[in-house]
Order: sequence, then structure tokens, then C-alpha cells
Amino acid sequence: MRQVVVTGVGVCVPGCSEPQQLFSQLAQGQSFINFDEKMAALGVRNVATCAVSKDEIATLHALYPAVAAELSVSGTMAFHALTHAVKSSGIDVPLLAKRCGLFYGVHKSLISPELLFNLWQGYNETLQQLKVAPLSEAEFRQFRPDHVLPVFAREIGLHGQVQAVADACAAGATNILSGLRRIRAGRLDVAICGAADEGSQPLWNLVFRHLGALSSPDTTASTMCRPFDRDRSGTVLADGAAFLILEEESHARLRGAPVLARISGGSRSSESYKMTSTAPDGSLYLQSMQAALSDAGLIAAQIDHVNAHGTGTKSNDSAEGLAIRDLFGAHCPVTSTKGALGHSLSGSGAIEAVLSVLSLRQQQLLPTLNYQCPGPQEAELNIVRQSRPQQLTHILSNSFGFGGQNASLVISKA
Amino acid sequence: MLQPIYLHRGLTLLPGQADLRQLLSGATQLVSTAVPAASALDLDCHGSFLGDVDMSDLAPDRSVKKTTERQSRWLINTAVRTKDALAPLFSGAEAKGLYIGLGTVDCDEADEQAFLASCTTQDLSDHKLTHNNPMVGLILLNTTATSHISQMCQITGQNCCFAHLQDGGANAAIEASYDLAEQRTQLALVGGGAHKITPWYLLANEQYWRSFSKLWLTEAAAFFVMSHQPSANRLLAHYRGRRGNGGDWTALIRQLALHLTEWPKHRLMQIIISGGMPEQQQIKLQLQNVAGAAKLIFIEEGCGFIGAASCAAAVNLALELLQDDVAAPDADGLDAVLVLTLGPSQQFSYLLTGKQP
Repeated sequence: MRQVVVTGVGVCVPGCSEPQQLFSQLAQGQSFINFDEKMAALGVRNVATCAVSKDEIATLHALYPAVAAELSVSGTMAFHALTHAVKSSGIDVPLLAKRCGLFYGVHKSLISPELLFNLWQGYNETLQQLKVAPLSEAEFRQFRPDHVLPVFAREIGLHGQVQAVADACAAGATNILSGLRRIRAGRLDVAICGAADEGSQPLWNLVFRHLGALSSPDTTASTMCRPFDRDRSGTVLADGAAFLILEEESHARLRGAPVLARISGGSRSSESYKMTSTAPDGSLYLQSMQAALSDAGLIAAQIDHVNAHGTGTKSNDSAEGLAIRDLFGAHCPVTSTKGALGHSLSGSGAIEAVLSVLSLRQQQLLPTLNYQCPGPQEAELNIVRQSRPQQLTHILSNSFGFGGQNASLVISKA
Repeated sequence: MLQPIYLHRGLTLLPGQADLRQLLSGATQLVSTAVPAASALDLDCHGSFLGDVDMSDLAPDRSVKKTTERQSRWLINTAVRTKDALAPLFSGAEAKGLYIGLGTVDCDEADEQAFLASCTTQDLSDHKLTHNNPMVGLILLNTTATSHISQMCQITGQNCCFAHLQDGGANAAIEASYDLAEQRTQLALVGGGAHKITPWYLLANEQYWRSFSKLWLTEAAAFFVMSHQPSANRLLAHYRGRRGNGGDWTALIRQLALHLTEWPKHRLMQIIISGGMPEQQQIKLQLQNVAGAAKLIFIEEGCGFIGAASCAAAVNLALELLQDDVAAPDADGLDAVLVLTLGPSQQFSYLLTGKQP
């Protein structure tokens, strides 16, 4: 079977746009979560997010003036991550022609209340006066999260296939799986795989709050997301983007590419259980992880670390904890980086894959912020609370989307 | 040894319960009306609209009733009824997968519009932040319909949802064919849904609509099944390519010609195309060089633009034509139909289906 390696990575999260720097900051226990200014401006206080600032977007626009007017906020962040990944891998995308594909995880963009109102006002006026609505094309394009793909393809000179997967919070991982499978099957030599989302949009906070999935307010924003902790109360939404360059191994080695890690396998499945939660005993999550192991040709004992989905919600972390304990035992180190970065929805699976690659490179575990102990009846896990060196060969990374869209990846040392 | 893949005809939902074959023959026509919001964008646009569907006989549970709106109900209804129509296939397959091309669901419902017309920004913010349906988040998620279909069809295997227009529907079919060929699944429920025709839909795709001289949008959903269980029609080939940035379809059509030479035993009798606007005339000319005597059908001529539903609708039509050709007295050799989807992301995908040799 053709082996698939990672030859380039890129990330863009609020406060950091370089992968190694992000890893270092996370290792030092830094949180990127703050009280959200957009929500405060709307009169809703004490909502924490990991939100990109207008200044950061302006900086990215200045870096990429050719695409600034064409991309949404998440698209701009994704473009930075994409550009960094392609450059760091050294691939010649135009030369690869049809042997290189682009796989992107998307979600739904929810427009701001102000834009919604302005839009409707615009329509009311135009219906009466036949006047074009006074909003920019870029603002309209954010209704379509996959609008970035033709822009990406054009800018990097891609001639091969493009695919947008819309698997909710699993999309960041499922698109990596699509790329992996195309290379394994010999249809591609390189797959450019990434995802991005703007979870901090106010309407996302609204809907997640109504679902009961957001964490309760606290005096300190950075402590509000507490994956696996007894006192956790929900997640914190985030903006974020990441890309990985997947490449057939002999193709990479022949051109002297940097081989950062190996994608050993993965799984993708649908639970057919309930819209709003998984099986409380974690059995459906366990099936996802087991299927990933089988695909990678590994057994549970060979996994040295789990990068958990770990959103900080009661139901996810309880079920995922049980699944991890039942499959890997209580000794396997577990990290959720959402305590520091929040949950960037579609983006999270790709960001966590990049962080898993860097963990393997550095032979270092990242910490889970704000964890003290599990709740009663919950699994006792080996939650990594402080970064530490660790011999790592195989990492399993989970991404579990709303409505039972599950994906697990096995990433291994090169 | 690779197991053959077979296609099984499912259901296509069109306005007025119209039949695509009858629409294309001119025997019936879809009712279409002007889309008022289109004038704001200087678009010449007519729409054919679906009403809400009655799923009460499918006994949806409370979560389905609370977290769906009419667009997702078209999708769920068509998927579940396809599964019911092909029930023996589902019971015979252990590993099943679900592959859907999705539009994005928006909150553009009539009540919302009426409220928005009367308020200030602050009122709107207050309303949005305090009075919204608690389930609005789940309603708006792209994957809600997918989850409901999984649950109602008991599909727990491979799954994938794809955005956005024809590319999404085609990617669903191609990905399903890969998973079957690579033995990750034994049965694939494949389909897609068009978007509700709303101001948001027009705005989100405005750049694409500008390439149409006249725009006819239609609300629709369609599903079919691929499996290893034999049927009359086998999947002979599948392909996904993309025309380069700024290029045309010529190179890909030439490649198609090459691929077709690999199946000399199959007489290509139809090519069913969706997408490719506004270059359909050029595409038609190039395909005629490739296709010889095969008839070319552009489904948009019969039903308008149906987005992510188009690939599955075209497959269902292909299977109907092949089925009826069994009885044709002048059949000479074996027959095949090519379903070709040309998408706004410049994707060129096809499925070639033909009678079992």
C-alpha cells in the first residue's frame, strides 16, 4: 500500500500564525481565549471566544492584497495557512498538474445581526426602488463557505481536483482522510488538506448557547473551557485554520522533501444515534477509534497519545473519556488543546492534526488547560496537565461532529 | 479481485411531482414564476418551487420534527423513501454509507422577514440573541439532515457531506464509488438537494449566476443507491477531473473520448449532462464529436438548475432509460449511458453505467 507522509503544515489562529510558534506557546500553557468584544458590543457580556481581531485580518490582507477582497474572515485565515504549508513543503503545485488535489473542510457561515439587518433593509429598498443592495461582494460571499476554493486553486496554480467536505466539526479531519485515501489508491501523489471556520461569529455563539453547549460565564475567560474537568460547563467557540500537505512517501523522498510525520490511517462514520448527543457509554466513539486503528494496522497498545476532541461539554467529554479508557486504558496520555484554543468547529480537526504532527516532531506532549479531576462516575484518564517530553510513535486524533459525524486519524512518526 | 458495482434507481423530487423524463420530452412543463429578489441584483430569474413535504407516514421522531425546515425535509423525505423502495438492498448489506451533496440551510423563512422589516439594529440583535428558536442552531447546521437520514435509514458506516452546488452532488457520487471500489462499504445511499430559492441563495451565488443569460432555478432533491448487489446496470467507470484555471473543457472531453474506447462492448446511447452553463453549446459540439450517435441531454433544459441534486437526478434518469431500452427491439449490442456533471468549481465528473455483460 502506498504510504502517505506530511511534508508541510500551516496554521492561523487568533494571536498566532506560525505552527512552531503556536506549539511553543501552547506548550508553555498559554491560553488564546478572551472575552468576546463582538458579543459585548451587542450587550451580551462574559462570552469567551478565541476570536481573530480586525487588526490581525488587516495584517493578513496587507500580506495577501490580491485576495483580500475575495475572501471571508475564515477564508483569509485559511489562505495564510495554505500558503505557509505549500511553501514549507516545497511542492511545485502547477508542475504536479492533475496529480495534486485540494481538500477543504467547511461549515456554515452565520452572518452577523447587523449584516442581516442591513441586508434586509437593502432588499426592502431595492424591491421598491430597484436599487442594488449597498453591500460588498465579499460580504455576500461569506454565505458560501466553499467560495474560497476557486481562489485557492487559482493562487497556488492548482489544476487537479478540489473537494469541499461539510461534515460539521469532523470536517477538518474527514478532508484529511479523503486526501489520504486518494493518495493510497494511486489517484493522487499530493493532497493539500485543510479546514477553517469562524466560530466566534455572534450567531454561532447564540445558537450554541441555546443548545446549552457554551461554557457558563466566569470571571476569567481563560478558565472557561475545561476539557474533561469535573467543573466543566461547555465549550468556547473559536476562529482557526490549518493546512497539511499530504504526499506519497516515495514521491516526497525522491524530491528531498521534509518528511514531518506519517498519516497511518483513519476512519469516518455516522452514528445513527441521536442528533444532539452520542451514546453516553462512549461505545460509538470507541468504534470510531477502533476503526482508525484497524485502518492503520495498529492495536490500541501501540498508541502513545490521544489528541482528544475534548470540547469541554459534559456529554462529549464524558463519553469520549469512557471510550478512551475502555480502548487505551487509564495510562495513555490524553490532551485536549481546546482549553487553550477553543473549538474552531470545522477548523479544529485540521489544527489538531497539525499539532499532533508537531508533537511527534518534538517528542513532546501539549497540556490540557484547566483540568483538575474528572467528575463522579467519569473515567480517570491520564490527562496531560503540563507539557513534557514523551517518546511518541503513534498519536490518535479525534474529531466528533454534531449529529454523529465521527472521524479519527492515526498520525505517526516519520 | 474487484467486486462490480451496480446502480439502483431511486427517487427524484421535483415541483408538482413532475417526472424528469416527461419534462425533457416536453410532455409536461414545470410551473415557474419570477423571483422578485432577483431584480435587486439585475438577474433575469424564474423559479420553480417545492412546497413542504409530508413526512408523517415516515414517523419521524421528535428531534427530526424540531430540527428540520422544508429544505432539509425535501432531502430527508427523498432519501428515506428511496431506501424504503430499495429495502431488500439495505437489509442485505452490512456496511452502508451515506453520501450527500448539500446546500447550506439559511434562516430565510417568511416570519423572519416580516420581523426584520420592522425593527432597528438593536431590536434585531435583542431578538436574535434572546427570542430565537432554541433549535435554530441545529436547524441551520448543514449536517442535521444528514444525521436524520442516517438515523432513519440506519446507516452507520462511511459518510460524507459535500458542498455546494453540482460539485457537491458529483463529489458524493464519486466518493461513494471510491469507497465501494476500495471495499470500505457495501452499499451507498447517494444524493443531493437543491437550495431553497431565497434572497440568500441568490446573493451567495451571485457571481455564478452572472454567467447565465436567463436563470431558471428549481427546488429539488434526488437519491439513488450504489451497491455490490447485482442489478441490470453496472457502474462501468467513474472519473473526476477539473479543468485548469482559466482553461476550457476541451482537454477533459478529449480524455473522456479516450476513456470511452476502453468499453467497446458498450454502445453509448445517451449522455446526460448537468451543469456547464453558460458554455453548454460549445460543450454540446465537442461531445457530439466524442459521442457519435449518442443522444445528448442537458437536464437543465427540462427542469432548470437543481444544484447538488443534479447528479443523482441524472443517474435516476439514466437508469430509467436503460431499463426501458431492455424492451427495445432494435437494440444492437449492449448499451450504456454516461452521466456527466460539470460544476461551478470547474469539476468534470462522470459515471458510466451500462447493462451487465
